[in-house]
Amino acid sequence: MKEIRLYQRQPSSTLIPLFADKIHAGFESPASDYEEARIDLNDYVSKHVEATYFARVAGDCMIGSGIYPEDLLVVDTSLTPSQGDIVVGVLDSEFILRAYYKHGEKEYLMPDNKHYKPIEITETTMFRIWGVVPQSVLDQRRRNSARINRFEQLLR
Amino acid sequence: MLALIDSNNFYVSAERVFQPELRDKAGCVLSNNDGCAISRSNEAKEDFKIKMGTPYFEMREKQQMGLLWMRSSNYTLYQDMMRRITGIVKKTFPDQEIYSIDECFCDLTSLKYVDLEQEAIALRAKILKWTGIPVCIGLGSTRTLAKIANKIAKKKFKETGVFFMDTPEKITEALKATEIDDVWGIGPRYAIKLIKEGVYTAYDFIQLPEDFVLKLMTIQGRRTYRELKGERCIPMEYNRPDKEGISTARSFGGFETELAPLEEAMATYVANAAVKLRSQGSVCAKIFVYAHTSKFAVISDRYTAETSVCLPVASNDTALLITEALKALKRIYVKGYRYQKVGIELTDLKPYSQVQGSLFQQVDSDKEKKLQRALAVIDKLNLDYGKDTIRYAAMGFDKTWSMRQEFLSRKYTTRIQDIIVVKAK
Repeated sequence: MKEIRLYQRQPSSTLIPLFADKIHAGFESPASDYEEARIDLNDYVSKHVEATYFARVAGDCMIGSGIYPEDLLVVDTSLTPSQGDIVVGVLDSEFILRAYYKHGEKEYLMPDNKHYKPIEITETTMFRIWGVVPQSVLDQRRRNSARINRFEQLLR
Repeated sequence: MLALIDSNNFYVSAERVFQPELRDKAGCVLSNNDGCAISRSNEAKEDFKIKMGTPYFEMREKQQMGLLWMRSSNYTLYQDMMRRITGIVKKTFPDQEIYSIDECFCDLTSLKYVDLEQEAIALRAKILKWTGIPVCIGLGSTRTLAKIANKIAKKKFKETGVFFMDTPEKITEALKATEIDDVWGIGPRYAIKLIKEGVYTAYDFIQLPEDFVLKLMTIQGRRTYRELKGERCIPMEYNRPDKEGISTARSFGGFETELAPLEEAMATYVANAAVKLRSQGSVCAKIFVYAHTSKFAVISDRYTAETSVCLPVASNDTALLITEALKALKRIYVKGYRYQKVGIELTDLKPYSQVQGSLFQQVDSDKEKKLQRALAVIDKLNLDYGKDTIRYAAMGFDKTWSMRQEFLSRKYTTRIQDIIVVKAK
């Protein structure tokens, strides 16, 4: 007599759901309906993303406006400077930082530091405006030692 | 109406935005490996007769004398400037197809009630102010006509940079002024054939009977013919289909004889291609690899080999792709040759969602999820902090094999340590 063995067919091993989500047993977060996008500094500093560039400051001629050496500048090339705006321009093939100031008929690039002289823009000046600086980023921790010196004097 | 917006000497213009000292001076941007000129300033074209493809060594002397400036190609910078330009264009002309790094087509059909010429003039001025890059805009009723309008804008309307080819008279005049080998879609071989038939300009071309064109130049030529007559035959491609294959290959700065530098180069190419693969949401099932010596070596020193590997399960995992590619490289590598180039292509692409586990290798869903998360984090870090911030060890560190880029400028818009410095003194 022949022995007949019966096998039960296994469920197919190739049909495995690849990315099945786990089922969560807990309650859904009650706050999920209230989720909002986090505050993004970019929304504040760059009104025109395609025209926003960044630049690094070398020098102290704008200290009066709170711009220190090594600070980060936001430059918006889509803006046209108004009276008193801080601008990045190109003077004799170099990027330069000053404030734009119109006095009567004359146009000036003004430093904001009494150790520097104003530059008058005349027809012979090789100058063009590149963009306006709507914001600058000051590294507060790099200013710590200057601040400590002031405090020392105050408390002496 | 269609518009073609095309940047003038794009790479040269992009370099000049952040290096004002290069303005008004003759110069050019070199190809990969600093081989030859691929973008030239007008001064370089006019004063020094520098051509597309003029080899670097022919220009070196002028460079050393300070007459010509040179820059290695800085594609990171160009890509960012391109994104800025297309972003600005999209606000004015929303139906946009980015055709190449310095050109985009826009369909203006939906802009019924605006003065297209005035819009184009304003757009051009805006792009110049926002990005510092001069562009020209050609408007015509088909792509081929818009191309011609653009060339005329470049040549004749330097002030506004815009040519609006809207009346039959303007079209006729433009076609008469366009030499046949300057027509988009007519290659040099057909141009020679046509000149033999007495066809010198685009205008002569459309005087031919259509049957004759079809016989002489097949269906492609007829398409160009109809486009020149104002019938739209080339549709806009708003969403480019996923690439069929992603390939990376570059010649080395010099020659390499050992396996190790070839492996490093190949691993790097695979890693770059894998990033692209993931960014378009695909996986690949096959890797094609090749290596060869210089085509100019004496015959006994020449060697070319290629092979491909099929993956059991399509993947987008850099580590796996590198491992497989390097195994394949080992198979074709023969010691003793001076290799000039290795390359890879990831092929048989499909969407990630269609991955099938193989019979022998069941995909572990949890592990797979973790892997995908890790890859996404790596890609994000490399995007935020610069390429190769997180790298695979197989990619090596010295890059003796890497491209020659002697005159590379900084990545002014994508790396915080590379931004311009403004004098406040």
